[in-house]
Amino acid sequence: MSTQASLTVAQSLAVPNPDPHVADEPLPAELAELAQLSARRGRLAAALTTIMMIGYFGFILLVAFAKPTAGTLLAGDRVSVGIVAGACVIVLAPILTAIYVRWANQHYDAAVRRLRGGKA
Amino acid sequence: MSTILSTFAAGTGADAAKPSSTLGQPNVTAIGFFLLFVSITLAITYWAARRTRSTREYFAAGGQLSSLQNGFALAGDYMSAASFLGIAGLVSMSGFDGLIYSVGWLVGWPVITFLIAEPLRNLGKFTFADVLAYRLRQRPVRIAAASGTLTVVIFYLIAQMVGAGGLIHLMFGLSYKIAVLIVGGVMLLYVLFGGMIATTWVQIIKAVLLLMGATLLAGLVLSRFGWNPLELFAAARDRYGSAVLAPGKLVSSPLEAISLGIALMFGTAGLPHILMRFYTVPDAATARRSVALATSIIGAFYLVTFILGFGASVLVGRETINSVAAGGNMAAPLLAEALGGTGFLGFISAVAFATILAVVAGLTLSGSAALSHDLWNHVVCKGQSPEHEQLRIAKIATVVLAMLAIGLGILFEGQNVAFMVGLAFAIAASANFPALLLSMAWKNFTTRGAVASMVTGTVSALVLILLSPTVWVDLLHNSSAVVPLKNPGIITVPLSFIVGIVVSLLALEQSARDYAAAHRRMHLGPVGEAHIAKH
Repeated sequence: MSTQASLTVAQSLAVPNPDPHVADEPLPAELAELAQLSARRGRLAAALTTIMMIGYFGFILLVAFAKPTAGTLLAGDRVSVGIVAGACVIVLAPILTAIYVRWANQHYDAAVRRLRGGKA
Repeated sequence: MSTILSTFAAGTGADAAKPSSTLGQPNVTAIGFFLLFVSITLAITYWAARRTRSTREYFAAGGQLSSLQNGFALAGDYMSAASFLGIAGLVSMSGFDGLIYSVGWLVGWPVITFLIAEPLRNLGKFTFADVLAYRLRQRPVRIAAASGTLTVVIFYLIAQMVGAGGLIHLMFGLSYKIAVLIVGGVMLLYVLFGGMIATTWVQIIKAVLLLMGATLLAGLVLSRFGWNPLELFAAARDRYGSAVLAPGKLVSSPLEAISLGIALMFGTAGLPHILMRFYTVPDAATARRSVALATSIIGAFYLVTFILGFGASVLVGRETINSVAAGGNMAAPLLAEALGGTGFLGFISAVAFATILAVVAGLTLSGSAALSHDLWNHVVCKGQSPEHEQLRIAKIATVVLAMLAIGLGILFEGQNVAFMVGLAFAIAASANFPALLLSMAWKNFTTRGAVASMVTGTVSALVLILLSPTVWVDLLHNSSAVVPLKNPGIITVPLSFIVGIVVSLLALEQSARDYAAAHRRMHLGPVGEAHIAKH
């Protein structure tokens, strides 16, 4: 990472600042952008975690409370609702992960780079 | 979980195979593949030992792994013999019910991706206690977090060692004690000399072998059914009735099922040996990509084990599987023998052996980090222990943990230790996960809140499992359980969140400013440190 980048953030990060002439607090604009970025990441993370939990606990509840439904046969009696639902939850996990990684690679990393001072 | 794990452990007590299978007789291919695996991994360990001079290399492979390497290593660290042989066995014996575990063992991974991996990488150095210690008081939180880590590691190690001894006895015909000694001894060589670099490569190789073996086996199964899983399910239905495709006896009580689900989902995100792996990559972005890769690998693997289970029930038959080992643990190896002959059986057996080695190595290393980095350096020496001393303590800790694993493995021979994996997940979910999440997400979290949450999580999980049907009735032979739940997650996880929050609110700590710094670093990474390191 560049010295420039390190300096900009080091100023705001370092807890006891060794240089009294350098401002100890980050710039307000920078703080606002960080807060915004953090909120966006938090919202997406919470939404995706919630979807995963609904999918998984939905599957568990289906198996626990609605055994006949889960045992209903489909596709020429060759598969059950429960098997399809379980496979869907397994496939859901990497799909949700991919959505997050795509967002983070495209937007989050760029914002982090900006906040760190353009490079790094 | 108890069912699959009890079948996993119960099966290991059974004796030599039926004449129809060569399983359990010394198998030249199996021994050949195993020796090849051990020779290659020991050669890697020798190479890794020359690159392991600092604690950062010992605990975090120098932080220089790629997302591809760490993705496979995470998968190799996580996919245990219990999930490979156990799920395939459970599906072969009871059909649909095995899928409940396939799903449960995967769903914690997205939680790691969304909530844990990146902040953990940015805030810590070697252990998850680093994250708590970043803005809370070092010593109390490190003592509590290290206790949680060591409890999880020891219970998980016992379950792995006892399972390993039994499985290797079944597959290779070696005596139980010899098998435990070999697993403990080889693991010790990896971790003691090669640290995280050797452990990583053992896990990568194991993950590749396991995926190859399982995929090849599933391919052989599907080739018999026109490459259509539906035809396989139909064949199972024709042979065992349509109940095989429907939920059976495993989920008896909805409360129990949800409780198990909570422990699996949040326990995965609190396993110290998994969390530790995020320090082996250079930055948060790499951590994110590696956990995404691991999620895909593990998801694909669990789908494949499902095919293996149904394949074994149709192509080998439940009677044969059950006659070799009660509970169905040998379903996958028997399927390999039926479809690919003794050679393939040997390969799969060696892969199962490698699987156990990779998991116990990861566990031991994370225990060693808790002892050396958290307890010795930060608690005893207040962060002043010199580098070479930390490394020496880490190696002593590794030897002690390996001895403990071997000793406990031998001590618990023939015991049903199935509940110990459940216990490890329950403690990880209730002691580690809530404190970790709150410390990253909640500004007003305090040192007292963290310690109270971790202690509550550990103690409540231990006590409730002790009083549960699994231990109180099955192991201690009391007539009825004090607590009817087999898995305490539904009580202990919310409880330790509540305790952490309430105790924090009771006495506020002056940590607002520290949170601002932690919050920055959580997103931007250790920029300041890199800057300082240049000078």
